[in-house]
Amino acid sequence: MEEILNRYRDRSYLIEAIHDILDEKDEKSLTDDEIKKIARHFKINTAEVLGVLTFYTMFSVKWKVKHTIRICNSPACYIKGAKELVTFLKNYLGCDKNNIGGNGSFLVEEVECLGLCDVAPAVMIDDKVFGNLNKEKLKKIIEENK
Amino acid sequence: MKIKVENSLSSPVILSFSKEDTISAYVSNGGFEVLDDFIINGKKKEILSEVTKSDLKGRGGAAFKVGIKWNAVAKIESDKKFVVCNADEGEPGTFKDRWLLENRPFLIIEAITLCAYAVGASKGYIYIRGEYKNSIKTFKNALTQAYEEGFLGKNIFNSNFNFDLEIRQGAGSYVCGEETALLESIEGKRAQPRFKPPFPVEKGLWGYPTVINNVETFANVVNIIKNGANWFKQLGTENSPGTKLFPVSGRIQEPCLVEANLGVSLEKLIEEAGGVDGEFQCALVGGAAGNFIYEKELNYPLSYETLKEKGMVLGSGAVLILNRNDKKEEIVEKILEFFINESCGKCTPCREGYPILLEKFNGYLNGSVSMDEVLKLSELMFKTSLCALGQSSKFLFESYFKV
Amino acid sequence: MGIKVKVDGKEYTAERETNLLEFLRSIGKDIPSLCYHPKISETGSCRLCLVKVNGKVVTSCTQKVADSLEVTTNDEEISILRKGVFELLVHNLNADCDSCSIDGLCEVQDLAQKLDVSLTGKKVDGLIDATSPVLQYDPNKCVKCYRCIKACQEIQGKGVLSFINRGGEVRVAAGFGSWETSECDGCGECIQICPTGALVEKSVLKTQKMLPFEKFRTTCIYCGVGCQIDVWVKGGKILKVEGADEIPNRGSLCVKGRFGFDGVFKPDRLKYPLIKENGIFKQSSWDEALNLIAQKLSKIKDKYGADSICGLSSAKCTNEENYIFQKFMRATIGTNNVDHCARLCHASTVAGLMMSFGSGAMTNSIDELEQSDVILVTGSNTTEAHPVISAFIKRAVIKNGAKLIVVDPRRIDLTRFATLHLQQKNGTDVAWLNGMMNVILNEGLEDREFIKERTEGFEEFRSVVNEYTPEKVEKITGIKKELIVEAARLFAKAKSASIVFAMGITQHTTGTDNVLSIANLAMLTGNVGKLYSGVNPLRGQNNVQGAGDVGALPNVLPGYQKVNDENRRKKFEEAWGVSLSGKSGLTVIEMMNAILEDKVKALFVMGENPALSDPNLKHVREALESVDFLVVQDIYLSETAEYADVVLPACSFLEKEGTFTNTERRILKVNKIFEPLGDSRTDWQIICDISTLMGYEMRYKSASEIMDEIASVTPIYGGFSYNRLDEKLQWPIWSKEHKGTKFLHKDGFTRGKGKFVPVDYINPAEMPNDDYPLILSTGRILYHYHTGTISRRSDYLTEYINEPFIEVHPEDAKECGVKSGDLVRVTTNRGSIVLKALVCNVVFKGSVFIPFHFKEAAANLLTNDALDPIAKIPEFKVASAKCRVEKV
Repeated sequence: MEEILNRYRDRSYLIEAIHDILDEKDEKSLTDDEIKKIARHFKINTAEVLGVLTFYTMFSVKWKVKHTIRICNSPACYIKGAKELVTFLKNYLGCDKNNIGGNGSFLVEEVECLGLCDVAPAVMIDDKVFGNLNKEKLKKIIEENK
Repeated sequence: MKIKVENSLSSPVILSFSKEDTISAYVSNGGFEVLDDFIINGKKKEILSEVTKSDLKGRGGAAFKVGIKWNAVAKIESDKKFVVCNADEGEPGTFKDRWLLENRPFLIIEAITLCAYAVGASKGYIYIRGEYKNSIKTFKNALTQAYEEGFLGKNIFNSNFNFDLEIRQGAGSYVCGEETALLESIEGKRAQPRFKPPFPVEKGLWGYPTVINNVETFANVVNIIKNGANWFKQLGTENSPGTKLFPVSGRIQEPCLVEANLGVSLEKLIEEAGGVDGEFQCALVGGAAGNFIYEKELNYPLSYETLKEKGMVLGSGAVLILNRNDKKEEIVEKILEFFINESCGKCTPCREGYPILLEKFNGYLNGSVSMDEVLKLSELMFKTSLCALGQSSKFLFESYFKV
Repeated sequence: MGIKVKVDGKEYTAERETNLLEFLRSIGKDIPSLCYHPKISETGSCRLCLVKVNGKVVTSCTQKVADSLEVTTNDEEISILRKGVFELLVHNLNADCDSCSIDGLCEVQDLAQKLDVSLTGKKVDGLIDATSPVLQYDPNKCVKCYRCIKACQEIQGKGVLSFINRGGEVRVAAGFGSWETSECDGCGECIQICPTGALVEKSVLKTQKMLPFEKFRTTCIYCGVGCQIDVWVKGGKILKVEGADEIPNRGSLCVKGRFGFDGVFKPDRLKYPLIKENGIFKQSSWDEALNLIAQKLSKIKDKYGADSICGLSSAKCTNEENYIFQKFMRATIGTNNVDHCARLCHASTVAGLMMSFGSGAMTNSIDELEQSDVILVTGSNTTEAHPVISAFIKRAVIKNGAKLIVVDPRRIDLTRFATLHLQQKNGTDVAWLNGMMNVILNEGLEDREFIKERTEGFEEFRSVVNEYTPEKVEKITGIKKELIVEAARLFAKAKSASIVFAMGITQHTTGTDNVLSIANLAMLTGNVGKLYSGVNPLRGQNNVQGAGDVGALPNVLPGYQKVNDENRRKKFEEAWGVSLSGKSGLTVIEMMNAILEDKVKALFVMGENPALSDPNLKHVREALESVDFLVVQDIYLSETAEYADVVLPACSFLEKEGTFTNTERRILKVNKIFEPLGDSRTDWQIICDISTLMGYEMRYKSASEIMDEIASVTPIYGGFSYNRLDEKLQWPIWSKEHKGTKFLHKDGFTRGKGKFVPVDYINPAEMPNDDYPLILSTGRILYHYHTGTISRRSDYLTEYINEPFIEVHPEDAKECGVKSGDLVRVTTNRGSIVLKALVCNVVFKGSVFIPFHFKEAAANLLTNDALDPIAKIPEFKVASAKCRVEKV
C-alpha cells in the first residue's frame, strides 16, 4: 500500500490511489486504518476520504468480497430481460440481504448502464465483460470465474 | 460491436472499419500529419479559426459551439491552462465513446493535442469512466505508444511545444459526465457540480482556464482541420453540421453504432440497424436525459436545432427502440430510480425532488395524482436545479404524456 | 468605480463583482437563502435565493454585479419557485419545532413563516451522531447547506467535515463516520454557522427551550488572543457561548472558549475565606481574615523591612486589579518586589524588544497576519496555544497564498500548511537566525534603505553574523543548510513578512538573545513599522500584556517607566502621595530563592499558581512550605493555595468588571454577567480593603475609576477611559483624541533608531549527556490552560484529554522498550515523574515533550530553573532527561 501511495503525491490522485489499492487487495474494501493512511498521505482528513469512498459506487466500503458482479439493469438491458437475470443470479448464488452470495465470495451489484447495450443484457465480473446473456450462459460464466 | 455508416454518406468521417489501436496503423493512415503540419508551421490561429468556422457543436449532449470554448481559453492569459476530454460516457443506451476509445484512440490523442497547442495548454486529462476497463487499458496503451513516438511529452515534433496527457478513471458516478462535476473528480473530490458561471473556460481545473469536450467532439477535430471547415459544413444540416454517432439498441434486429449526417431521420436509423424487433412503439432518444419519440415523429430530422424547436433534445444521440410489448412506464420508473441513485445530493431540487417525482408518477399510474402535478414538479426542477441532472426529467415527462 | 444596476425597475449603483445577493440585501431586498453565508465561499446548493437576471431565473448568491444587469427580485414565478424549492427542502426534514431546543432561533423556521409553508415533524431514521464530547449532529434536521463543512475548511482551515454518500442519503460526517473518530478539536465553528438545529452544543440539549435568554458580551480568559464572546444565559446558568463577530476573533473561538467555562462554577469554588490553623483550613469571616493579613504584613514589614515581603500579581486578573496590586506592593508595603508569570513567558521578549525597538510588545495586529506574504512561525505551537490566531495563519496560506515557514523542533500542526519546516535542536535559535541573516547578507537581500535610515549598530552586527555560515549552522542546529538558504530567500524576498513567536523562543537562558536575533532579522529585511509584517510575540495568558503594562513587574512602574528613573518615580510619588523605593525588586524565581535564603518572610499571591507553573517545583514547593506567611487569593483551592496561611475567595472573570489587554495591545472589556459566588469578592476590592486596613487608603467605586487613574499615570494608556471601550483601542493611546496604534514603530522606533544587537550562539544551560540522553521540552496543549485550575474542572475539556503524557520518538521508544500507553518514569537532575507514553514522530529523535498542565505528573518537577541573565526567565524548553519503562 505504501508503495502505491508513494506513486502519487498530489491530492488529486485520491481516486486513482483508491482504485490501485483496491485492485491489489483480495477483499474489495478499505479498513479504517487504510483510510487513515491514505488521508495522512494526501494531507487531508479521514472524512474527506470517506466522502469520496461513499460517493463513487465502485468503491464499496461496506462489504468484503472476492468478486464483484456488476449486472446492468438500466433500460437497454432491462427490456432484454435483465430483471429476470438479476433474480436468477441472486438465487443461484444464494445471496443474503447484502447481496453477498456464493459462500461470501460474490457481491451482486445492480448497476447503471455499462455501455454494453449492443450486447444487452450484459454483466461485468470484476474487470471482465460478458454480453448477450441468458441464464445458462450466465451460470457457465459464474462457474468459470469462481 | 457492429458499426454502420448510413448509406447516404459517401464515406465515414469518424468511424473507420479498420481498427487503429496501434500507432503504426494510425500513422500509416495519415495519422498525426495534421498535428505535425500545424505545430511545425505554428498555425495556432488556423486551428482556432477552422474549428470556429466549422460550427462544430459539442457531441456530449449540450451542443455548445466548440470554437467559442477554444477561443475563450486561447484568449485568457494564464500560467496554466488545461484541456480535458470527457470520456465519462454514462448516458443509458450510449456506447459511442467506448467504441472510439477502443478503436480510434490516436485520433482522440491527436485532436486533444491540437486543441492544447491552439489554446496554449501544456497539460491534458482524459477522464474515462471507471467501468470502461477495456477502454482504459486500450487508451493507456495508446498513450504509451504516443509518448514513445514523440507525439506527446516534451518538444513535440522538435518544436518547443510540450504537452502531457494523462488518464483519470472515474469510479462509478453518472454525474461526472457533467463537466464541472468531472473537473471536481479529476481534482480527486466528490463529483458535485459547481455553479456556472464561472464556466470552465474561465475557471476550470484548479481554477485555471480549461477546455472540456466530449470524446466524439474531439473525434471530429482532425478531419475538420485536415479537410477544412467548408468540407465539414457540407455534412449534416445548416445549423448542425457534420455527422453524428447514433448508438442504436433495444428492440432492434441488429444493435449497432451508426454514423449518419445530423438531420437523419429515426426511420432511416432503424432501417440501417435491420428494422424493429417486433412492432415499433417508440424510441427513447438521448438516454435518461432524453425523450420519447413516437411513430408519427419517425421522420423528424435528428438535429440539435430541429428538435429544440419542437421542445425536444437529441442529447447523446442514443436510440433505444421499444416495441409494443415493452412497458414505457417501467422505463420511466427506471430512469427516475436512476436519477435518484445518481443525484449527487448537492442541490435541493434534484436531491429532494426525484424521490417525490417517482412517488407522484406512481400516483399518476394508479390514478391518485394528476398529470399536471407531475409536470409541475419536473418543471420546477428544470428551472431551479443546479445542473442538468436535476433538469432532465422535464423532457422525459413532456414526451411521455404526449401519447 | 460603481456601475448601474437596475433592480425592480429602480436604478442603483453597485461595485462591480459584488456578490449579487449581498448587494440586493444591502438595498433592503428580502431574499431567502440558506447555503449562502458571507464568511464562506458561495455554494449555490439550496436554490432559494432565486431572482431573475435579464429575465432568466438564477440563484443570486452565485451571480456577481456586472454591466447592464436588470434584476427582478420577486414576481409570481419567482415566489412560486422559491416556495416550491423550500417545500422540497423541508419534505424530509424533521421540523419538530415543539421539541427542539433552538425553537425560535432557527433559520428554517423563519423561512417557513416568510414563505408560508407549514413545518412538520418527521419520522427519525437518520442516525444522530452524539459521539463528540461537545456537540451533536442530527441529520434529520440537516438542510445539507455546506455551511458547517465550509466553515471548518475555510474559516478554521481544518477541513474535518465532509459530506458522505450521495443523493438523498447525503449527510455530514467526521472521521470514519462518527465525530469521536475524527480530527475534530471541538472549536464549534460549525455549530455557530449551522442554520438549523442539526449541529448543536450538548449543553443546549439539556435545555428544553433556549428562548427566552439573555446574552452578554465579554472577553475570553483562555489565552492572550482576547476573543470576544457572547455568553447566553438562562436561569442563572450558561446556555452556551458564541464567538462575537468582531475584532479580534471575528466570530471564531476554540474549544476552551466555547465549551470550557463550566469549569468556573464547580461546587468546590472557594466561597469564603480560609485560615489555616494547625495545618487545617477553617472557614473564617472576611473581617477576621483581612485583619489577620493586615496585622501580619504590617508586623513583618516593621520587623524585617518592606523588602521582606513579596507579591505575585496575576496575568489572569484585570488591568485594574494588577494596577491595584502593584500599587499596594509599592505604596502600601513599600517594595518593588512585585512580579507575575510574564516572567515565565515573555520577560525575554520585553527585555529584548526594549533593547532593539524600545517597546516590548507585539508590533502588529492579529488580523494583519492574514494578509502577510510570508509568515515565519517559530517556537509557537499556535494551533494548540493560540488556536484562533492559527486560523488567521491558515487562512493566509489557504485563501491568500501566503508562504509559511515553521521553525520548530516539533512537527506541530502548522507544519501541514508550511512551505518549509526547519526542525532545529532545542535551544539553538540564535544559530539558525544568524544563519538566515548570513545568507540574506551574502546574497544582498537585505533592505539597505531601511538599515541606513532607521537603524544603528549594523556594522558590528554584520561582523558577528558573518561567522554563521549555513554549514556551521547546520552543525549546531541540525537543520540542513539548503533549508536555511531557502528559508532566508523566501523570507527576505517577501513583500511583507511577519514573524510570530512564543515560548519556544523566550523560555531559554538565551531567551533575550533569541528575541534580539528575531528583531535583527525583522530590521535586516525592513519588516518592522509597516503593515502585514512585524515581530509578533504571542502572549500566553489573557492579560499578561496588561499586567505588565500596568506595572506588575519589579523593575518598572505602570507604562514601563523604570523604578530607578527618579523623575518618573517622582511623578508616581506625587500621584500616590507616598515615597517609593527606587530599587528594583525580585523576580519570580528570585523570590523563591530569597525565601529559602530567609530574606523574604511573606508572600502574597493573587491568582497565580507557582506550585505548578514554575520550574524546578521541588525547590518552589520548599519555598512555599517554608515562607513565614503566605496569602493566596484565588477562585479554587489551587496547588499553591494549599500551602497558604490565609486563602481568600476571589470572583471569576464572569463575576466582575474590568479590562484585559490582549496580545496585540488591544484593551478589551470584561463584563459582570453573574453575581459573585458565595462570599467571594473581586481581587481589587480585597486588595483595597487590606491596604486601607494597613493605613494606606484605597477607596475606588468602580473599575472604571481605577482605569482613569491608570490613564493618568501611564502615558501609553493616557487617552483611554471606559467611555472609549467600544473603540477597542490598541496602545499607545496618547490622548483622548488619539485613535490608538495598529502597528508600532511606523515613523520611528520607540527608542528612536532600531538597534542591531549582535548576538553569539551559546549552548543551553543543560545539554544531553550519557546519564540524561534526551532533550526534554514542555508546553501547552489545546484542551487545557496553564495549571488547569479551570480547564481541568470542565466536563467537556476533560473528556478530550485528562491525563498527563509524554511524547517519545518511535526510535527512542524502541531503544527504551516503550510502547504507546506504557507508564514511563522520566527523570532529570531535579526530579522524577511517572506518566503515559505517546509514541509519535511529532518530536524528533532524541527529544521528548510533556505538557505542563497536569499536577499528577507535574512537568515542572523536571524543568530547569536556570535563568536568562537579563530577563530572569527560566529555561523551560530545554532540560536533559532520561526515560525508562516503569515496572508496574
